[in-house]
Amino acid sequence: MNAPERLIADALREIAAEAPAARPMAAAAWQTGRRRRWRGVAAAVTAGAGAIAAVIALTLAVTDSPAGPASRPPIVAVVPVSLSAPIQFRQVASISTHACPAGSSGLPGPAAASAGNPNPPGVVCYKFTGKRMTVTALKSAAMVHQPGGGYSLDITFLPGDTARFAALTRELAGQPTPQCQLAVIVGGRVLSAPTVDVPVAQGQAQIVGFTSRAQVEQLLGRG
Amino acid sequence: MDERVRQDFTEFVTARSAELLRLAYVLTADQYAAEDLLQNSLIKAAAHWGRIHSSPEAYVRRIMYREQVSQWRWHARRPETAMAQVPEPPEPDQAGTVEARLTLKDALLALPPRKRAVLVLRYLEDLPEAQVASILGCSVGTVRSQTYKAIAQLKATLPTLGLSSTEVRP
Repeated sequence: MNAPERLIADALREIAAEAPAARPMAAAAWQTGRRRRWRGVAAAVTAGAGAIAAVIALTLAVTDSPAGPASRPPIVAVVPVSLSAPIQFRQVASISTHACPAGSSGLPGPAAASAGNPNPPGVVCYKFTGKRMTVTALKSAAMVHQPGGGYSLDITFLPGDTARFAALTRELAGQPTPQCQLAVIVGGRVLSAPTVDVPVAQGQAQIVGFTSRAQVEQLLGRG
Repeated sequence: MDERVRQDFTEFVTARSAELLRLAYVLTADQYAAEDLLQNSLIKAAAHWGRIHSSPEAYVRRIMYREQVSQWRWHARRPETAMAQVPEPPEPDQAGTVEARLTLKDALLALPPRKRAVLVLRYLEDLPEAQVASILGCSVGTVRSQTYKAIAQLKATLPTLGLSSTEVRP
């Protein structure tokens, strides 16, 4: 190796040394990885016989349904849930007042209601900082019908994600608006961007902003 | 059986995650992206853990490099830049002062992910081109051209360092 190559290697080593401390992630990674594998097996079995899949299918507990004409019971997933699409949590950098222009780095999402403007129209553009986390599985999830319309999801993170979520919310708490807002992103859209007032250390959160029951079911792999 | 494999996986992650996160950090240059990269790679590895017979570390590292490259492809389709701070309007160019402050480290962190991944494999891990190509799932020619372009880019930002792109051609 000649001199420039050694310089590059040294600089890379220097960057590596600045990496943050690793948080425990073995348990969450294991559970998610294994479940993904079993889900693959289940699909194969269903295609063939269709009998054994029920054993590992998501367990649904039935509770009382609040309302709705074609009202089916709320979904309460009581075993660890593999999500059909990842949920991303990102710190908001800015929110513009109009839709994202083509080629923008932002993502579309609903405009937040404020005191002066209780029913803001249309779609606005969210931009984000680098602070974020992605979850692909949850310990549990319960769908709740909102009295004002729409659905929300009460979620509990897996242990590894709980630690990451606590660290992320600790960074956001107390920042000025909108950097204290944590956008919840599913399928390339911002569902909602709640304000983080205090760090969330217990690993429980509520995601609001689902417009239909089918949207929740699809996310939970039940669509 | 599964319990034994699980224990093996947990021990591996506990023992190696600090080192693996360092690799993730060199590749992503971002704490959050590094944690995401490592966790997603561990999830993939966990699915096949019982069937990894040779070196689990090499297996996980390979997944990490591949993930990083595929993320690069994803970003190419739908460009999105993660920023550590709120984006500021660009300031007038102060070429002289900015250039003076730039270090090789900054220049490396500014490289796009794929180019940095190639440099990490070639110079940090000190692997031959053929092996780099096999890990990234591309041709030796691509490894060569990416290395060449990466060094040309470093040289362009850091003329003072005397990084000659012809010197480092294999």
